[in-house]
Amino acid sequence: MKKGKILVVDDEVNITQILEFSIGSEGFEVLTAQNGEEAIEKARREQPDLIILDIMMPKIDGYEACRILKANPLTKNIPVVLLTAKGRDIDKRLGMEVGATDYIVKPFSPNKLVERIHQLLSCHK
Amino acid sequence: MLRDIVQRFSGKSAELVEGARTADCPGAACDPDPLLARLSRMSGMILADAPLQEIYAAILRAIADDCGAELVALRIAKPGGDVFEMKAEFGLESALPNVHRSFPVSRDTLLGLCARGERFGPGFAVGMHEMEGERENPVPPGVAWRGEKIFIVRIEENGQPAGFFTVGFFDGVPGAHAASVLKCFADQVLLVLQKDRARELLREKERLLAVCREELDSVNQLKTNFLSVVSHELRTPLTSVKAYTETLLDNADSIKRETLQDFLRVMDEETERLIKLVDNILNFSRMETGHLKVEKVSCNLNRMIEEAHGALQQKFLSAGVNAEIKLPRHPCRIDADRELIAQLLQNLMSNAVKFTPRGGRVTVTLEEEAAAARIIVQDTGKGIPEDQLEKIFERFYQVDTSNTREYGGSGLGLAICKNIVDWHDGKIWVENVKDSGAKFVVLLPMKDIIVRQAASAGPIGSRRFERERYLMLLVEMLAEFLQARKASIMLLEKDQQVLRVLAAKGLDLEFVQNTRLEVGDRIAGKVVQTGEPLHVFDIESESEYGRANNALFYGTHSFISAPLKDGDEIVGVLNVSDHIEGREFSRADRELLEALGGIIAGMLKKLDAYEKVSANFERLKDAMRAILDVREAWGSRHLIDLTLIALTMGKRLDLDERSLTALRLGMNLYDLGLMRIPRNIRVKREELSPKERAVLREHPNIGFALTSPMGLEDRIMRMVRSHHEHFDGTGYPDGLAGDEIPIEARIVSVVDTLRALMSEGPYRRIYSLEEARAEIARGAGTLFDPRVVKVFASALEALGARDEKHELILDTFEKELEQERNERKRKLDALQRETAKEAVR
Repeated sequence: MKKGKILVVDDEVNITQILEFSIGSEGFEVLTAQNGEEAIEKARREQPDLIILDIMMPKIDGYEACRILKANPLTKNIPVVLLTAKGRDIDKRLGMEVGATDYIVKPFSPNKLVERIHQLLSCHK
Repeated sequence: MLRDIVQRFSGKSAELVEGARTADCPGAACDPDPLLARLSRMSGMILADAPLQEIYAAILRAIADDCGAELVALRIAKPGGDVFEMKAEFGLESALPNVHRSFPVSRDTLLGLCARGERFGPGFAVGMHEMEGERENPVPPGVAWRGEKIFIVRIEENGQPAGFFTVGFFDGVPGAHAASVLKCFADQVLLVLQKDRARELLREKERLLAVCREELDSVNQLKTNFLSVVSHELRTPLTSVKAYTETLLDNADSIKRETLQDFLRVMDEETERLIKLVDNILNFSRMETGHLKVEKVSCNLNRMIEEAHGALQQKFLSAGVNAEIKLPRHPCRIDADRELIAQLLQNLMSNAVKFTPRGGRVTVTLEEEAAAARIIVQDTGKGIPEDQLEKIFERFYQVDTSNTREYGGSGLGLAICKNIVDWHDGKIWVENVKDSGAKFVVLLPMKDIIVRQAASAGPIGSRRFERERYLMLLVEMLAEFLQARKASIMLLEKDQQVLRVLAAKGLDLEFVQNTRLEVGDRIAGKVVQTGEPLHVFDIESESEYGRANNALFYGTHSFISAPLKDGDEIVGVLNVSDHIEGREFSRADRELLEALGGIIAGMLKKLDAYEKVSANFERLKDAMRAILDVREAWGSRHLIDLTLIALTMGKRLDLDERSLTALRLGMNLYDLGLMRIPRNIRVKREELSPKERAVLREHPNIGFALTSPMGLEDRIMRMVRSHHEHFDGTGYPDGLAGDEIPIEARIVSVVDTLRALMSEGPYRRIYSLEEARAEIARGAGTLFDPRVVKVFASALEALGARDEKHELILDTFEKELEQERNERKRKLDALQRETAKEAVR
């Protein structure tokens, strides 16, 4: 039995690949998406338990994708963790404003990310 | 005697003194010494920063009063000290009516007058007869003098005259009192001058400070951008490295071999990306801070492009993009920093690969023009949004768009390119190619134009710089028109009948500075003597003008010298040698050079006249720049082909020699107004809005205005103005119809349409030659003169025009040259036989 379904969104294939590996080896089912549009589509269809969302992406960026997810009744309750290379306070605040649950700054430790996923999922349930 | 004058003016003086008293001393108790009162008043004014004009007026009035002078004038040196300008005068109006008040006096005149005058105290008493002997008489002839002597007192600063008083009139020498009063006031004026200069300096410093502040602000902004980019761009590869390392460490025992290899590969790639980025940043910061060392050596651009292509081969292969490299047959060399140019080429090419989809193509073209090497890197990607064409060279530009995420990169690559090009005084820009991607164009100048410095002090300061800039433009134009590596303008110095180089391209500095040719001497001298151009097709077979004979043509094998003619008078010589394609100069080239002789002589004459009025001067330079811009935008070679078509048409229409000359020159000038239309309208891909179309349609008028200060022949001016008129009267700007449109303009209109259809333009694809020809034929009778359309078709036929990938090629060009070669050879052979026969006899 899988622990839960996680959607990982980043345009850097290297990042989605490593997260797929490390989150997957913790017993989660991992879905990936390369951009904002694909993420919104997959979230609606697959109803993941949590979304890890990169901010700097082509076309629809992470903020915008988050806003769209939160505006849709189908996806608004899925917790979103923003992943970004920007570490400034204003970026964090902006993340919270669009409805993100948490915020992780790149470069990050995959172990800590997995820990955070565990925490968030147990809170949420 | 002086006393008489004082008496004559005593009434006036008393009045003035009275005036001064009432103004200065409202109370009854006044200073007993009027001179002292005036001096203290003067100091007060100077201290209070009164306007210069008021201070000068007060000083002159005081001098007039105290010395009993009829007339006092003050002249101050203009910057540079060569000319003294009238700043204030007193009594001139009544003493010398009808005299133009503000005539300037040259330094030489002043020194001459003083040398001939009689030294007295601080000044010089100059007799009337001395004044009359002066060529640049400070008082124009025909003016009646009432006195015998005029007194000149110089205002000296560090032993140099900074200005002078002219005080008149005295029957003998002025008294000791007058002399010391004048000396005293001269010092006051110097004080005022120095104070004024200090104030001006302060103002200048303030301006500089403001500029500095602005620069600082923008540097600050740059720093902010930089940090944000660096934080993002460095973090991304670091994130991968960190995540993969940690995961590997955690799973060191259990991880599968393939996964391990895969992970290590990613780590290696991302580390490589980091290294490149850090290199780029360091390089860029060196360029920005000016710490870059540019070492210019002779670079073979052909080879460097091939090398850059070789270095990027892997990149091309893995992106599935084809490369096409088009190089000229002969190696194109420029003086440049080899490493920087290599980086420039690689950046542009890898940028093009990045934005080209799989299966697409990147074309790199190198063309040599007389003044510059042109490198074109064209891709088949989706192009660049029109509103961003100019911004993409800004540092970090792509960062705020989604481009970074889509294509990767630091946003520094193009900024680095721009920097490299700037370091070489070149130009870089990008334009979109209809239906296929972006086209980056780099121009790297082959800057070897020298303007001879005159030994005597010519125009001073910035004006001299302006003059040099102008002459450089002239030489650049000459070299561009004839496609010559070497070009020079020589002028005949009237007094000595000696030819000297005025400005040259591609020649040694020493040669330019020191060459003097007498009339009849060597090639240029002969051209002046005979008034006929000298065209040497091949120096090897025409040994009379062998290399040793003229250093001007050293290392060349074909050249033309043509007289510079101002009307019928020969004022100098134009020389060109070393065609950039390595070919001989043709008959057509000689005819063009002869035609240019007329224009350049006119423009040099204008130079002297316009130099005095900078606004005109500026306009003339604007026109020259526009001429060069047209060649830059269209390519010199292309213009030569179009001109050949126009000339062939003209000949078939039986135009006279003057019209053909006008065509020859006009084809190079007619569209220069277009270059002043904003680029985004000129090269726009979408259909133009009505407003934009109106702006575009202004260009014949703009061109007309630009060329008007050049003093060109009417026929050429009308080609500039009327090349968008239609035969049926529906064209612009004047709505002329039929024969109202000059025949030259009717020809240009057809040739220009051919050019436009076969190149980028608003809202249409590029036409093939066949399609363009058909389109033009359809316009016969409406847009174009049917007769002209007819000769156009036959001219294309005769010239063997064909189309290679939408590029116009004229077959006859080479053929004609070959024909000329044979013709020359035949003539020479005959001559040799002739001399051999004579020798036998």
